[in-house]
Amino acid sequence: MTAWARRTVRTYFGNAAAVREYRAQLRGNRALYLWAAYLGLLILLGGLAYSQIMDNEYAQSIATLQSELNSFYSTIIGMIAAVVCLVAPALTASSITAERQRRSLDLVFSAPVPPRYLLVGKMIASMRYLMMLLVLALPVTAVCVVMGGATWSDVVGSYIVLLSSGIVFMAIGLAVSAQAPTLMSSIVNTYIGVGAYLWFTSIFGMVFLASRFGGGPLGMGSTNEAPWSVVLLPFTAAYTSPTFTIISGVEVPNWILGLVFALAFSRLLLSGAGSALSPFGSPETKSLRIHGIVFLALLGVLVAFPLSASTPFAMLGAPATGPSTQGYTFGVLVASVSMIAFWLIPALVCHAPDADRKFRYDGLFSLRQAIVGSPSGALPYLLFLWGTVVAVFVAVYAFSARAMLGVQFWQLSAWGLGFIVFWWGVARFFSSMGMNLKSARSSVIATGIVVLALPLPILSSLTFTSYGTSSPSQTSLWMLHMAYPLAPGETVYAPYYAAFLVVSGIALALAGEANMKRPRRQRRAGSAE
Amino acid sequence: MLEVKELWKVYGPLTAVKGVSFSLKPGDIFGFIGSNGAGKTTTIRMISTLLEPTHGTATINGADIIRDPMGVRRQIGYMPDFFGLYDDVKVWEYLDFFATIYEVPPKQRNSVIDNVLELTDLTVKRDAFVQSLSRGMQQRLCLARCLVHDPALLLLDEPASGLDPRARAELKELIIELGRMGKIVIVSSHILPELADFCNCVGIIERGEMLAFGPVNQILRQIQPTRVLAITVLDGAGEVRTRLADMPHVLAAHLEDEHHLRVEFNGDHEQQSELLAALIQANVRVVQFHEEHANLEDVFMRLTTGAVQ
Repeated sequence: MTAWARRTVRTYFGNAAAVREYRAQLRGNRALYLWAAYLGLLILLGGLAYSQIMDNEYAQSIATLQSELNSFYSTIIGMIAAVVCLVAPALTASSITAERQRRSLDLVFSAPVPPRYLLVGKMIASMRYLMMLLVLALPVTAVCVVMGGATWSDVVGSYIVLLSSGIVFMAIGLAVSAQAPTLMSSIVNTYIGVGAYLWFTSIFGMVFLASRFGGGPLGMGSTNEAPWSVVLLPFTAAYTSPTFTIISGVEVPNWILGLVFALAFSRLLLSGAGSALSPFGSPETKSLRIHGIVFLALLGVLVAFPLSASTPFAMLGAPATGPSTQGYTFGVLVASVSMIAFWLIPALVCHAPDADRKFRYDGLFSLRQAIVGSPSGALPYLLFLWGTVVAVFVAVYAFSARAMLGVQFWQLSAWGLGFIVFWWGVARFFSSMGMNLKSARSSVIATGIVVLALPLPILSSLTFTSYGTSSPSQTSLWMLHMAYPLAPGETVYAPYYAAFLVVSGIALALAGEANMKRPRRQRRAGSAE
Repeated sequence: MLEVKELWKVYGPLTAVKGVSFSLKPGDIFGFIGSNGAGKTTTIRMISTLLEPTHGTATINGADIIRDPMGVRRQIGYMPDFFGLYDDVKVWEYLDFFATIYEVPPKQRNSVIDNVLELTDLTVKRDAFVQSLSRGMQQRLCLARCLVHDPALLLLDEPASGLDPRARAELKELIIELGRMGKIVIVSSHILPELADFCNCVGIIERGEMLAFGPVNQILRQIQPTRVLAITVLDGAGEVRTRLADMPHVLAAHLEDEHHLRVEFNGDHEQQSELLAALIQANVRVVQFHEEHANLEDVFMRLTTGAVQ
């Protein structure tokens, strides 16, 4: 315990990597010029926005004027959010790749420090820089407060939302750069990751805005009660930061929940980066695996609580009281999770004879390897993840007085299990064909795209089962699609589909296993050891 | 005390290191010799915990590279065959960074930095940017970095590559000094004559296998168990050869040309001087008489085939 405390203090206070990075960032006049340009640009754009919004101020009522000032404030926050989206990933996107190319990484890792020390150091330095940018923007946001467009508590809430997003973006940058071979791929993939994050979170943010201003069927109206996930989109921080979620009768500000999510998610990403920089069986990989389960449980709680205890969650449909709405909402969740799982499965499952020990063949199924991190532990680990989500939902709903889990939850959970086992089988089969790791992973993803995505509309029409209709058919390949849970009316067949997928997945994995037992494969696998 | 036990490193079908074992004690300067791709760097990286061995292990003063990598890292200074220097960093900042990650107490850091700068003759460059240093100075800075935590074992991978003769001489002196300070120093190099000058122990590796290991003299004796005497006479070399064949301790005498002979001799220095005296007494007009010593290059060429993996 003492050793752990000592290590933690050493990592977070006086971190040498953070000091070095910060010295390099602030060296010379470069930083000063950059900040001056940033502030100047912000003032200029703010001035333009102000002049446009307040163009006809004398012709307006006090209430309209107040609304215009609110718009001005949200514009300013939107501009700062854009800066956060551009700058935060750039601060870390190339940092580890650059160290690898400079070959200074070996020097650091021959010293008694784990990868986490370096990663946290880089995060701290980048966060300081980002906070400096936010602080520099204070004079501009202060104008909004002085003029009455916002209160200081609004500003603090918005800043925390922006900082939370910045933390996630920086963690994405570090996670990508820990694996990317070149600077270019590191930067490009980081911004793709950030784009994907914004795309996902924009669903929540935009729905919230539509609810707030459109007054649609979202049940929120002008109340500030909203699902916590609305704060994940930085561009709408001015509107979403005052929202709250009711948890066990207590109004919890959503920016707190957003910050918890950001810290947990960035911790997960940093563990991923640490694992990528570590050899087989390292504490970093074990930590990543455990954090994956903990994070999923936390996310499950954060999602399940508002679902079970609050009405506004039903933002994509009718109020959340009936089982059909519940089914639809679960459908959205399961489809999102399966999309992520589809990309995760090849990374965990695929093996190759010439790969690192982490990705070399070591049997079909091993519970012990689930946390250590090797291909034989992939399925048990994926099942752990699946089980965690199901268990969290069951537990949360068991304590909820307002809602019960409907049958569609169990149908979709069963389908989720089938989906995992099927794609695990596909990944095992491709890996047994003796190709290298990259090819095996690419083959799985290509199969997902080519076999499922492209012929889907044709096959669907042939089998008279089409996306978005309630005409089900058990022969449709639609069940293999990641967005299957969104197909209305088809969840009835989910248990049959699940059984079919599980059997197919196991058959494919066993075929792969038989392939591995062939003398040539055996020799290759044997020599790899 | 460093003990390397049966280290293996396998990459798919390629075996980079095959059961390398050796042990070194404080003060030993070990020259690690091998062609490019022989397995030197892989072995050094495994000892420095940067690569996980497929089989085998190594211990440094009881700390195991597999079970206690952090304990090992505290005791080693690893200098790879590249600089890995940061840009935009001053010499003292660079050393301060490594002193911090090696857990040198904050109060001692400044004096430690001053000491290693003095040892590596870089004191005047304390506030210079690392990218402004010459190659030799950067090499010395890397060595200074390895020394900030006073390690028991130094792993120097090709430390002299790319250095001019003066810088190489300075580096050699520095390594000798480190050996005197009781550190174990492992130096891999291609410049064999230099290694022979300051290493008290060498190992020759080829295709991942350690072909020879031990004190330099012992290895030289292994490939040349008898003395070889080179004799130059003014005339009558053929007659001298016949005469030599009958003399005590002479195993064989070879005629090189009409003036030069090579004699395989198994006597000691006293018997060697008696041989010379006997030749002079026999009115042989000796111009030169000396013992030929094998060097590391001869050993290396004799033991290795030049094959790479």
